[in-house]
Amino acid sequence: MIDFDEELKNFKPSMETSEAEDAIRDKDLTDMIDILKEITASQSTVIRQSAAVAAAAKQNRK
Amino acid sequence: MEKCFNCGNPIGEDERTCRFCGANQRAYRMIMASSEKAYNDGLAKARDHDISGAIESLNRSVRFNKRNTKARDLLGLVYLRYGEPVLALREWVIAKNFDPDDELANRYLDSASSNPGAFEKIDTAAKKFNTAYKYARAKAFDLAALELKNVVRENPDMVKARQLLALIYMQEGEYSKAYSELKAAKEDDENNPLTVRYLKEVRSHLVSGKKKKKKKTDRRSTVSINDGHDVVMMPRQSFIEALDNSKSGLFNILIGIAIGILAFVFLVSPTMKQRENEETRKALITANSTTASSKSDAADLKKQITSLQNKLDKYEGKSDVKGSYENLIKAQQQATGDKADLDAARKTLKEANKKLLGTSGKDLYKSLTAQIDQQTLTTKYDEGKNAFRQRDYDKAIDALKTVVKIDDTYDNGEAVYELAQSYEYKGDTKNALKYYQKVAKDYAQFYRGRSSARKVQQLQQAQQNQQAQTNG
Repeated sequence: MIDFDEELKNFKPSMETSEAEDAIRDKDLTDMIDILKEITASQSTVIRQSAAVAAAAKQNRK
Repeated sequence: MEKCFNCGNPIGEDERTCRFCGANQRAYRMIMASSEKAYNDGLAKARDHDISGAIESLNRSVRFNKRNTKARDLLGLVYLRYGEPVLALREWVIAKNFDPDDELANRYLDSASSNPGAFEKIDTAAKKFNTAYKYARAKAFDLAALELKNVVRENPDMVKARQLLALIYMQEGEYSKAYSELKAAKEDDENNPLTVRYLKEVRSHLVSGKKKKKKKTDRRSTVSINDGHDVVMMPRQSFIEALDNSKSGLFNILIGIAIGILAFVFLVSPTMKQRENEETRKALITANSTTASSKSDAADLKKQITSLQNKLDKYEGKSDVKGSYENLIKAQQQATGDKADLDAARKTLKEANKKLLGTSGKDLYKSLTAQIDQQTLTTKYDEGKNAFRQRDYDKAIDALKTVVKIDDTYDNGEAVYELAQSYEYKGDTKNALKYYQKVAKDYAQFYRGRSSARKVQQLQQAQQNQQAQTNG
Protein backbone atom coordinates (compact mmCIF):
# COMPACT_ATOMS: atom_id res chain seq x y z
CA MET A 1 0.00 0.00 0.00
CA ILE A 2 1.32 3.40 -0.93
CA ASP A 3 1.77 6.03 1.80
CA PHE A 4 1.09 9.34 0.10
CA ASP A 5 3.11 11.50 2.48
CA GLU A 6 6.10 9.20 2.26
CA GLU A 7 5.88 9.05 -1.52
CA LEU A 8 5.67 12.81 -1.75
CA LYS A 9 9.21 12.94 -0.33
CA ASN A 10 10.44 11.35 -3.59
CA PHE A 11 9.47 14.51 -5.43
CA LYS A 12 11.47 17.72 -5.35
CA PRO A 13 10.39 21.07 -6.76
CA SER A 14 11.91 21.94 -10.13
CA MET A 15 14.44 24.72 -10.31
CA GLU A 16 13.14 27.97 -11.79
CA THR A 17 15.12 30.29 -14.05
CA SER A 18 15.48 32.81 -11.23
CA GLU A 19 17.51 30.17 -9.39
CA ALA A 20 19.82 29.42 -12.35
CA GLU A 21 22.66 31.60 -11.10
CA ASP A 22 22.64 29.96 -7.65
CA ALA A 23 22.43 26.51 -9.27
CA ILE A 24 25.61 27.15 -11.23
CA ARG A 25 27.48 28.87 -8.40
CA ASP A 26 26.59 26.32 -5.72
CA LYS A 27 27.38 23.26 -7.84
CA ASP A 28 30.12 21.21 -6.23
CA LEU A 29 32.57 20.54 -9.02
CA THR A 30 35.00 18.35 -7.13
CA ASP A 31 35.77 15.23 -9.18
CA MET A 32 37.85 12.12 -8.68
CA ILE A 33 40.89 13.72 -10.33
CA ASP A 34 40.80 16.55 -7.75
CA ILE A 35 40.73 13.93 -5.03
CA LEU A 36 43.62 12.08 -6.66
CA LYS A 37 45.61 15.29 -6.83
CA GLU A 38 44.93 15.87 -3.14
CA ILE A 39 46.09 12.34 -2.36
CA THR A 40 49.25 12.85 -4.45
CA ALA A 41 49.94 16.13 -2.73
CA SER A 42 49.51 14.63 0.74
CA GLN A 43 51.68 11.63 -0.27
CA SER A 44 54.46 13.92 -1.48
CA THR A 45 54.38 15.82 1.82
CA VAL A 46 54.62 12.58 3.77
CA ILE A 47 57.53 11.38 1.58
CA ARG A 48 59.28 14.70 1.94
CA GLN A 49 58.81 14.68 5.70
CA SER A 50 60.00 11.08 5.97
CA ALA A 51 63.05 11.90 3.84
CA ALA A 52 63.82 14.87 6.05
CA VAL A 53 63.43 12.74 9.18
CA ALA A 54 65.71 10.03 7.70
CA ALA A 55 68.35 12.61 6.73
CA ALA A 56 68.28 14.11 10.22
CA ALA A 57 68.69 10.67 11.82
CA LYS A 58 71.65 9.90 9.53
CA GLN A 59 73.31 13.12 10.51
CA ASN A 60 72.81 12.40 14.23
CA ARG A 61 74.34 8.94 13.82
CA LYS A 62 77.40 10.53 12.24
CA MET B 1 53.47 12.05 -25.46
CA GLU B 2 51.32 11.91 -22.40
CA LYS B 3 51.55 14.56 -19.70
CA CYS B 4 51.20 14.14 -15.96
CA PHE B 5 47.74 15.25 -14.78
CA ASN B 6 49.32 16.74 -11.65
CA CYS B 7 52.52 18.53 -12.69
CA GLY B 8 52.16 18.57 -16.48
CA ASN B 9 55.55 16.96 -17.12
CA PRO B 10 55.84 14.36 -19.90
CA ILE B 11 55.46 10.71 -18.90
CA GLY B 12 55.66 7.40 -20.73
CA GLU B 13 52.53 5.49 -21.74
CA ASP B 14 53.28 2.57 -19.44
CA GLU B 15 54.58 4.56 -16.49
CA ARG B 16 52.55 4.00 -13.32
CA THR B 17 53.76 7.08 -11.44
CA CYS B 18 55.15 10.40 -12.45
CA ARG B 19 58.91 10.63 -12.10
CA PHE B 20 58.69 14.29 -11.12
CA CYS B 21 55.80 14.51 -8.68
CA GLY B 22 55.02 10.90 -7.85
CA ALA B 23 51.35 11.19 -8.95
CA ASN B 24 49.58 7.88 -9.55
CA GLN B 25 49.11 7.77 -13.32
CA ARG B 26 47.43 4.37 -13.24
CA ALA B 27 44.66 5.61 -10.96
CA TYR B 28 44.26 8.65 -13.22
CA ARG B 29 43.90 6.46 -16.31
CA MET B 30 41.32 4.32 -14.49
CA ILE B 31 39.30 7.39 -13.49
CA MET B 32 39.32 8.71 -17.06
CA ALA B 33 38.25 5.31 -18.39
CA SER B 34 35.45 5.08 -15.81
CA SER B 35 34.21 8.54 -16.83
CA GLU B 36 34.15 7.50 -20.50
CA LYS B 37 32.43 4.24 -19.66
CA ALA B 38 29.75 6.05 -17.63
CA TYR B 39 29.27 8.46 -20.54
CA ASN B 40 28.78 5.58 -22.98
CA ASP B 41 26.39 3.99 -20.55
CA GLY B 42 24.43 7.24 -20.23
CA LEU B 43 24.31 7.68 -23.99
CA ALA B 44 22.93 4.15 -24.47
CA LYS B 45 20.29 4.70 -21.79
CA ALA B 46 19.25 8.05 -23.28
CA ARG B 47 18.82 6.34 -26.65
CA ASP B 48 16.65 3.69 -24.99
CA HIS B 49 14.40 6.31 -23.39
CA ASP B 50 15.74 5.43 -19.96
CA ILE B 51 16.04 9.04 -18.92
CA SER B 52 16.53 8.58 -15.19
CA GLY B 53 19.17 5.89 -15.85
CA ALA B 54 20.92 8.22 -18.29
CA ILE B 55 20.93 11.03 -15.73
CA GLU B 56 22.49 8.73 -13.16
CA SER B 57 25.23 7.46 -15.53
CA LEU B 58 26.08 10.90 -16.88
CA ASN B 59 26.25 12.39 -13.40
CA ARG B 60 28.64 9.56 -12.48
CA SER B 61 30.72 10.34 -15.56
CA VAL B 62 31.15 14.02 -14.61
CA ARG B 63 31.85 13.10 -10.99
CA PHE B 64 34.82 11.06 -12.24
CA ASN B 65 35.94 13.78 -14.59
CA LYS B 66 34.32 17.19 -14.35
CA ARG B 67 35.96 18.22 -17.63
CA ASN B 68 34.13 15.57 -19.60
CA THR B 69 32.18 18.11 -21.64
CA LYS B 70 30.58 15.48 -23.89
CA ALA B 71 28.91 14.00 -20.79
CA ARG B 72 27.86 17.44 -19.55
CA ASP B 73 26.35 18.39 -22.92
CA LEU B 74 24.35 15.19 -22.99
CA LEU B 75 23.37 15.57 -19.34
CA GLY B 76 21.99 19.02 -20.14
CA LEU B 77 19.93 17.62 -22.98
CA VAL B 78 18.58 14.83 -20.79
CA TYR B 79 17.68 17.30 -18.03
CA LEU B 80 15.80 19.42 -20.55
CA ARG B 81 13.88 16.37 -21.68
CA TYR B 82 13.17 15.54 -18.04
CA GLY B 83 11.56 18.98 -17.59
CA GLU B 84 14.44 20.57 -15.69
CA PRO B 85 15.52 23.51 -17.91
CA VAL B 86 17.60 25.20 -15.23
CA LEU B 87 19.68 22.11 -14.59
CA ALA B 88 20.18 21.79 -18.36
CA LEU B 89 21.44 25.38 -18.54
CA ARG B 90 23.72 24.75 -15.59
CA GLU B 91 25.43 21.81 -17.29
CA TRP B 92 25.94 23.68 -20.56
CA VAL B 93 27.32 26.77 -18.82
CA ILE B 94 29.78 24.63 -16.83
CA ALA B 95 30.79 22.74 -19.99
CA LYS B 96 31.43 26.01 -21.81
CA ASN B 97 33.41 27.28 -18.85
CA PHE B 98 35.71 24.26 -18.99
CA ASP B 99 35.97 24.29 -22.76
CA PRO B 100 35.08 27.61 -24.45
CA ASP B 101 35.28 25.88 -27.83
CA ASP B 102 32.69 23.26 -26.89
CA GLU B 103 30.49 23.50 -29.98
CA LEU B 104 27.54 21.58 -28.57
CA ALA B 105 27.29 23.64 -25.39
CA ASN B 106 27.54 26.84 -27.43
CA ARG B 107 24.86 25.64 -29.79
CA TYR B 108 22.45 24.64 -26.99
CA LEU B 109 22.97 27.91 -25.14
CA ASP B 110 22.48 29.90 -28.35
CA SER B 111 19.34 27.94 -29.08
CA ALA B 112 17.99 28.66 -25.57
CA SER B 113 18.61 32.40 -25.98
CA SER B 114 17.53 32.69 -29.63
CA ASN B 115 14.36 30.65 -29.19
CA PRO B 116 13.09 31.84 -25.81
CA GLY B 117 9.51 30.74 -26.54
CA ALA B 118 10.22 27.01 -26.39
CA PHE B 119 12.53 27.34 -23.40
CA GLU B 120 10.01 29.56 -21.60
CA LYS B 121 7.31 26.96 -22.17
CA ILE B 122 9.36 24.34 -20.37
CA ASP B 123 10.18 26.82 -17.62
CA THR B 124 6.48 27.71 -17.20
CA ALA B 125 5.69 24.01 -16.91
CA ALA B 126 8.36 23.69 -14.20
CA LYS B 127 6.83 26.62 -12.30
CA LYS B 128 3.39 25.08 -12.56
CA PHE B 129 4.78 21.79 -11.32
CA ASN B 130 6.11 23.57 -8.24
CA THR B 131 2.67 25.08 -7.59
CA ALA B 132 1.07 21.66 -7.98
CA TYR B 133 3.64 20.20 -5.61
CA LYS B 134 2.67 22.79 -2.98
CA TYR B 135 -1.02 21.95 -3.48
CA ALA B 136 -0.28 18.25 -3.12
CA ARG B 137 1.61 18.85 0.13
CA ALA B 138 -1.35 20.86 1.40
CA LYS B 139 -3.65 17.96 0.41
CA ALA B 140 -5.52 20.14 -2.12
CA PHE B 141 -5.69 17.23 -4.54
CA ASP B 142 -8.22 18.75 -6.96
CA LEU B 143 -6.12 21.86 -7.49
CA ALA B 144 -2.91 19.86 -7.70
CA ALA B 145 -4.41 17.51 -10.31
CA LEU B 146 -5.70 20.46 -12.33
CA GLU B 147 -2.31 22.14 -12.32
CA LEU B 148 -0.49 18.93 -13.19
CA LYS B 149 -2.80 18.32 -16.12
CA ASN B 150 -1.77 21.76 -17.42
CA VAL B 151 1.88 20.88 -16.90
CA VAL B 152 1.51 17.63 -18.82
CA ARG B 153 -0.29 19.46 -21.62
CA GLU B 154 2.48 22.07 -21.87
CA ASN B 155 5.39 19.65 -21.45
CA PRO B 156 4.28 16.04 -22.09
CA ASP B 157 7.84 14.80 -21.45
CA MET B 158 7.91 15.95 -17.84
CA VAL B 159 7.96 12.52 -16.24
CA LYS B 160 7.80 13.62 -12.64
CA ALA B 161 4.61 15.62 -13.33
CA ARG B 162 2.97 12.45 -14.63
CA GLN B 163 4.25 10.50 -11.65
CA LEU B 164 2.87 13.04 -9.17
CA LEU B 165 -0.45 13.13 -11.04
CA ALA B 166 -0.58 9.33 -10.89
CA LEU B 167 0.17 9.42 -7.16
CA ILE B 168 -2.73 11.85 -6.63
CA TYR B 169 -5.04 9.66 -8.71
CA MET B 170 -4.00 6.65 -6.61
CA GLN B 171 -4.70 8.59 -3.44
CA GLU B 172 -8.15 9.42 -4.83
CA GLY B 173 -8.74 5.78 -5.78
CA GLU B 174 -8.79 6.51 -9.52
CA TYR B 175 -6.44 3.71 -10.50
CA SER B 176 -7.31 3.54 -14.20
CA LYS B 177 -6.43 7.22 -14.64
CA ALA B 178 -3.23 6.68 -12.67
CA TYR B 179 -2.43 3.74 -14.92
CA SER B 180 -2.75 5.80 -18.11
CA GLU B 181 -0.47 8.53 -16.71
CA LEU B 182 2.13 6.00 -15.60
CA LYS B 183 2.00 4.28 -18.96
CA ALA B 184 2.74 7.59 -20.67
CA ALA B 185 5.53 8.26 -18.16
CA LYS B 186 7.00 4.85 -18.90
CA GLU B 187 7.13 5.62 -22.61
CA ASP B 188 9.29 8.67 -21.86
CA ASP B 189 11.40 7.13 -19.14
CA GLU B 190 11.50 3.38 -19.50
CA ASN B 191 13.16 2.20 -16.28
CA ASN B 192 12.28 4.94 -13.86
CA PRO B 193 12.12 3.09 -10.51
CA LEU B 194 9.28 5.26 -9.22
CA THR B 195 7.18 4.67 -12.33
CA VAL B 196 7.83 0.94 -12.17
CA ARG B 197 6.86 0.76 -8.49
CA TYR B 198 3.70 2.81 -8.96
CA LEU B 199 2.71 0.74 -12.00
CA LYS B 200 3.04 -2.41 -9.93
CA GLU B 201 0.83 -0.92 -7.22
CA VAL B 202 -1.80 0.29 -9.70
CA ARG B 203 -1.89 -3.06 -11.52
CA SER B 204 -2.45 -4.91 -8.27
CA HIS B 205 -5.43 -2.66 -7.48
CA LEU B 206 -6.88 -2.96 -10.95
CA VAL B 207 -6.58 -6.77 -10.90
CA SER B 208 -8.22 -7.08 -7.46
CA GLY B 209 -11.01 -4.75 -8.66
CA LYS B 210 -11.64 -6.99 -11.70
CA LYS B 211 -11.71 -10.09 -9.54
CA LYS B 212 -14.35 -8.56 -7.27
CA LYS B 213 -16.47 -7.69 -10.29
CA LYS B 214 -16.17 -11.18 -11.67
CA LYS B 215 -17.24 -12.66 -8.33
CA LYS B 216 -20.36 -10.52 -8.33
CA THR B 217 -21.18 -11.59 -11.89
CA ASP B 218 -20.70 -15.24 -11.02
CA ARG B 219 -22.98 -14.93 -8.00
CA ARG B 220 -25.67 -13.42 -10.18
CA SER B 221 -25.41 -16.09 -12.90
CA THR B 222 -26.30 -19.07 -10.70
CA VAL B 223 -29.50 -19.99 -8.89
CA SER B 224 -29.90 -22.74 -6.29
CA ILE B 225 -33.01 -24.92 -6.13
CA ASN B 226 -33.65 -26.95 -3.03
CA ASP B 227 -36.00 -29.85 -3.85
CA GLY B 228 -35.94 -31.29 -0.34
CA HIS B 229 -33.10 -33.78 -0.86
CA ASP B 230 -30.46 -32.21 -3.08
CA VAL B 231 -29.46 -28.68 -3.87
CA VAL B 232 -29.40 -28.20 -7.63
CA MET B 233 -27.34 -25.32 -9.03
CA MET B 234 -28.40 -24.06 -12.42
CA PRO B 235 -27.50 -20.94 -14.35
CA ARG B 236 -29.73 -17.94 -13.86
CA GLN B 237 -31.32 -16.70 -17.09
CA SER B 238 -32.66 -13.31 -17.87
CA PHE B 239 -36.07 -12.88 -19.48
CA ILE B 240 -34.54 -12.16 -22.87
CA GLU B 241 -32.26 -15.18 -22.59
CA ALA B 242 -35.27 -17.30 -21.74
CA LEU B 243 -37.01 -16.02 -24.83
CA ASP B 244 -34.00 -16.74 -26.99
CA ASN B 245 -33.62 -20.20 -25.58
CA SER B 246 -37.26 -21.10 -26.04
CA LYS B 247 -37.65 -23.04 -29.18
CA SER B 248 -41.01 -21.59 -30.00
CA GLY B 249 -40.34 -19.01 -32.70
CA LEU B 250 -44.05 -18.44 -33.25
CA PHE B 251 -44.44 -17.52 -29.61
CA ASN B 252 -41.74 -14.93 -29.95
CA ILE B 253 -43.33 -13.47 -33.06
CA LEU B 254 -46.72 -13.21 -31.33
CA ILE B 255 -45.18 -11.51 -28.34
CA GLY B 256 -43.40 -9.13 -30.69
CA ILE B 257 -46.64 -8.23 -32.49
CA ALA B 258 -48.44 -7.72 -29.17
CA ILE B 259 -45.68 -5.45 -27.92
CA GLY B 260 -45.84 -3.53 -31.23
CA ILE B 261 -49.60 -3.00 -30.96
CA LEU B 262 -49.35 -1.93 -27.35
CA ALA B 263 -46.54 0.46 -28.16
CA PHE B 264 -48.63 1.98 -30.98
CA VAL B 265 -51.72 2.34 -28.76
CA PHE B 266 -49.94 3.75 -25.74
CA LEU B 267 -47.01 5.58 -27.24
CA VAL B 268 -47.44 6.46 -30.93
CA SER B 269 -51.17 7.20 -31.04
CA PRO B 270 -51.22 9.71 -28.14
CA THR B 271 -48.19 11.44 -29.60
CA MET B 272 -49.94 11.77 -32.97
CA LYS B 273 -53.09 13.13 -31.34
CA GLN B 274 -51.06 15.51 -29.26
CA ARG B 275 -49.28 16.72 -32.38
CA GLU B 276 -52.60 17.33 -34.18
CA ASN B 277 -53.94 19.26 -31.18
CA GLU B 278 -50.76 21.24 -31.02
CA GLU B 279 -51.02 22.19 -34.69
CA THR B 280 -54.68 23.26 -34.28
CA ARG B 281 -53.79 25.31 -31.25
CA LYS B 282 -50.93 26.98 -33.12
CA ALA B 283 -53.24 27.81 -36.07
CA LEU B 284 -55.78 29.32 -33.65
CA ILE B 285 -53.12 31.39 -31.96
CA THR B 286 -51.86 32.61 -35.36
CA ALA B 287 -55.42 33.55 -36.43
CA ASN B 288 -56.03 35.39 -33.16
CA SER B 289 -52.77 37.25 -33.40
CA THR B 290 -53.56 38.22 -37.04
CA THR B 291 -56.99 39.58 -35.96
CA ALA B 292 -55.45 41.43 -33.06
CA SER B 293 -52.82 42.98 -35.30
CA SER B 294 -55.51 44.00 -37.84
CA LYS B 295 -57.44 45.66 -35.03
CA SER B 296 -54.40 47.46 -33.79
CA ASP B 297 -53.60 48.52 -37.39
CA ALA B 298 -57.11 49.94 -37.74
CA ALA B 299 -56.73 51.79 -34.43
CA ASP B 300 -53.39 53.20 -35.60
CA LEU B 301 -54.92 54.38 -38.87
CA LYS B 302 -57.73 56.09 -36.98
CA LYS B 303 -55.21 57.85 -34.80
CA GLN B 304 -53.34 59.01 -37.88
CA ILE B 305 -56.55 60.31 -39.43
CA THR B 306 -57.39 62.25 -36.24
CA SER B 307 -53.91 63.69 -36.07
CA LEU B 308 -54.00 64.74 -39.73
CA GLN B 309 -57.49 66.21 -39.25
CA ASN B 310 -56.21 68.27 -36.32
CA LYS B 311 -53.35 69.52 -38.42
CA LEU B 312 -55.78 70.36 -41.22
CA ASP B 313 -58.06 72.24 -38.82
CA LYS B 314 -55.20 74.48 -37.85
CA TYR B 315 -54.72 75.46 -41.46
CA GLU B 316 -58.39 76.05 -42.21
CA GLY B 317 -59.24 79.66 -42.94
CA LYS B 318 -55.53 80.42 -43.32
CA SER B 319 -53.62 81.07 -46.49
CA ASP B 320 -50.99 78.98 -48.07
CA VAL B 321 -47.43 80.28 -48.34
CA LYS B 322 -48.06 82.46 -51.33
CA GLY B 323 -51.38 83.75 -49.95
CA SER B 324 -49.82 84.46 -46.57
CA TYR B 325 -47.19 86.71 -48.13
CA GLU B 326 -49.82 88.44 -50.26
CA ASN B 327 -51.95 89.09 -47.16
CA LEU B 328 -48.91 90.39 -45.32
CA ILE B 329 -48.22 92.92 -48.09
CA LYS B 330 -51.89 93.81 -48.31
CA ALA B 331 -52.12 94.38 -44.54
CA GLN B 332 -49.07 96.65 -44.70
CA GLN B 333 -50.70 98.69 -47.45
CA GLN B 334 -53.97 98.92 -45.51
CA ALA B 335 -52.25 100.03 -42.32
CA THR B 336 -50.18 102.78 -43.92
CA GLY B 337 -50.98 105.80 -46.04
CA ASP B 338 -53.59 108.53 -45.76
CA LYS B 339 -56.50 106.18 -46.07
CA ALA B 340 -55.33 103.70 -43.44
CA ASP B 341 -57.95 101.16 -42.44
CA LEU B 342 -56.65 99.50 -39.32
CA ASP B 343 -59.58 97.11 -38.87
CA ALA B 344 -59.21 95.88 -42.43
CA ALA B 345 -55.44 95.59 -41.95
CA ARG B 346 -55.95 93.59 -38.76
CA LYS B 347 -58.38 91.21 -40.53
CA THR B 348 -56.05 90.75 -43.48
CA LEU B 349 -53.15 90.06 -41.16
CA LYS B 350 -55.16 87.41 -39.34
CA GLU B 351 -55.73 85.59 -42.62
CA ALA B 352 -51.97 85.28 -43.16
CA ASN B 353 -50.52 82.04 -41.76
CA LYS B 354 -47.59 83.06 -39.58
CA LYS B 355 -46.23 79.49 -39.38
CA LEU B 356 -45.69 79.32 -43.16
CA LEU B 357 -43.69 82.53 -43.26
CA GLY B 358 -39.92 82.67 -43.36
CA THR B 359 -37.80 84.51 -40.82
CA SER B 360 -38.07 87.92 -42.49
CA GLY B 361 -41.78 87.28 -43.13
CA LYS B 362 -42.29 86.58 -39.44
CA ASP B 363 -40.36 89.74 -38.50
CA LEU B 364 -42.56 91.81 -40.81
CA TYR B 365 -45.64 90.13 -39.37
CA LYS B 366 -44.54 91.04 -35.84
CA SER B 367 -43.67 94.65 -36.64
CA LEU B 368 -46.88 95.09 -38.59
CA THR B 369 -48.95 93.69 -35.73
CA ALA B 370 -47.19 96.01 -33.28
CA GLN B 371 -47.71 98.97 -35.61
CA ILE B 372 -51.41 98.21 -36.13
CA ASP B 373 -51.89 97.69 -32.39
CA GLN B 374 -50.25 101.00 -31.59
CA GLN B 375 -52.30 102.87 -34.18
CA THR B 376 -55.47 101.11 -33.06
CA LEU B 377 -54.79 102.02 -29.45
CA THR B 378 -54.42 105.70 -30.25
CA THR B 379 -57.39 105.87 -32.60
CA LYS B 380 -59.76 103.77 -30.51
CA TYR B 381 -58.84 105.45 -27.26
CA ASP B 382 -59.60 108.90 -28.74
CA GLU B 383 -62.76 107.51 -30.28
CA GLY B 384 -63.83 105.98 -26.96
CA LYS B 385 -63.15 109.12 -24.99
CA ASN B 386 -65.06 111.31 -27.46
CA ALA B 387 -67.99 108.90 -27.43
CA PHE B 388 -67.96 108.90 -23.61
CA ARG B 389 -68.10 112.70 -23.55
CA GLN B 390 -70.95 112.64 -26.00
CA ARG B 391 -72.63 110.04 -23.70
CA ASP B 392 -72.63 107.48 -26.50
CA TYR B 393 -71.69 104.71 -24.06
CA ASP B 394 -72.17 101.82 -26.47
CA LYS B 395 -69.71 103.29 -28.93
CA ALA B 396 -67.37 104.21 -26.07
CA ILE B 397 -67.51 100.66 -24.68
CA ASP B 398 -66.87 99.22 -28.14
CA ALA B 399 -63.82 101.41 -28.72
CA LEU B 400 -62.40 101.17 -25.19
CA LYS B 401 -62.84 97.38 -25.08
CA THR B 402 -60.66 97.14 -28.15
CA VAL B 403 -58.02 99.27 -26.40
CA VAL B 404 -58.15 97.25 -23.17
CA LYS B 405 -57.98 94.02 -25.11
CA ILE B 406 -54.75 95.15 -26.74
CA ASP B 407 -53.22 96.79 -23.64
CA ASP B 408 -55.07 96.79 -20.32
CA THR B 409 -52.54 99.24 -18.83
CA TYR B 410 -52.99 101.84 -21.55
CA ASP B 411 -52.73 105.45 -20.33
CA ASN B 412 -51.87 104.19 -16.83
CA GLY B 413 -55.17 102.36 -16.44
CA GLU B 414 -57.24 105.34 -17.59
CA ALA B 415 -58.65 103.32 -20.50
CA VAL B 416 -59.92 100.58 -18.13
CA TYR B 417 -61.31 103.19 -15.75
CA GLU B 418 -63.22 104.93 -18.55
CA LEU B 419 -64.51 101.59 -19.76
CA ALA B 420 -65.79 100.87 -16.22
CA GLN B 421 -67.44 104.31 -16.15
CA SER B 422 -69.05 103.71 -19.54
CA TYR B 423 -70.50 100.45 -18.24
CA GLU B 424 -71.69 102.17 -15.03
CA TYR B 425 -73.47 104.96 -16.89
CA LYS B 426 -74.93 102.52 -19.28
CA GLY B 427 -76.34 100.64 -16.28
CA ASP B 428 -74.29 97.47 -16.67
CA THR B 429 -73.23 97.20 -13.00
CA LYS B 430 -71.75 93.73 -13.38
CA ASN B 431 -69.19 94.74 -16.04
CA ALA B 432 -68.62 98.12 -14.35
CA LEU B 433 -67.73 96.32 -11.11
CA LYS B 434 -65.40 93.98 -13.00
CA TYR B 435 -63.33 96.83 -14.48
CA TYR B 436 -63.49 99.06 -11.34
CA GLN B 437 -62.18 96.12 -9.31
CA LYS B 438 -59.33 95.67 -11.77
CA VAL B 439 -58.31 99.36 -11.49
CA ALA B 440 -58.70 99.26 -7.68
CA LYS B 441 -56.41 96.25 -7.52
CA ASP B 442 -53.78 97.26 -10.12
CA TYR B 443 -53.54 100.94 -9.07
CA ALA B 444 -54.32 100.74 -5.34
CA GLN B 445 -51.59 103.31 -4.53
CA PHE B 446 -52.93 105.89 -6.92
CA TYR B 447 -55.87 108.21 -7.02
CA ARG B 448 -57.70 106.21 -9.74
CA GLY B 449 -57.27 103.05 -7.68
CA ARG B 450 -58.74 104.58 -4.54
CA SER B 451 -61.67 106.19 -6.37
CA SER B 452 -62.28 102.85 -8.13
CA ALA B 453 -62.36 101.11 -4.75
CA ARG B 454 -64.94 103.61 -3.51
CA LYS B 455 -66.95 103.07 -6.68
CA VAL B 456 -66.83 99.32 -6.07
CA GLN B 457 -68.16 99.83 -2.54
CA GLN B 458 -70.93 102.15 -3.74
CA LEU B 459 -72.00 99.83 -6.53
CA GLN B 460 -71.94 96.77 -4.29
CA GLN B 461 -73.98 98.66 -1.65
CA ALA B 462 -76.43 99.73 -4.32
CA GLN B 463 -76.70 96.16 -5.53
CA GLN B 464 -77.38 94.91 -2.00
CA ASN B 465 -80.00 97.57 -1.45
CA GLN B 466 -81.66 96.73 -4.69
CA GLN B 467 -81.62 93.07 -3.82
CA ALA B 468 -83.06 93.82 -0.38
CA GLN B 469 -85.83 95.85 -1.95
CA THR B 470 -86.59 93.06 -4.40
CA ASN B 471 -86.66 90.52 -1.60
CA GLY B 472 -88.63 92.84 0.68
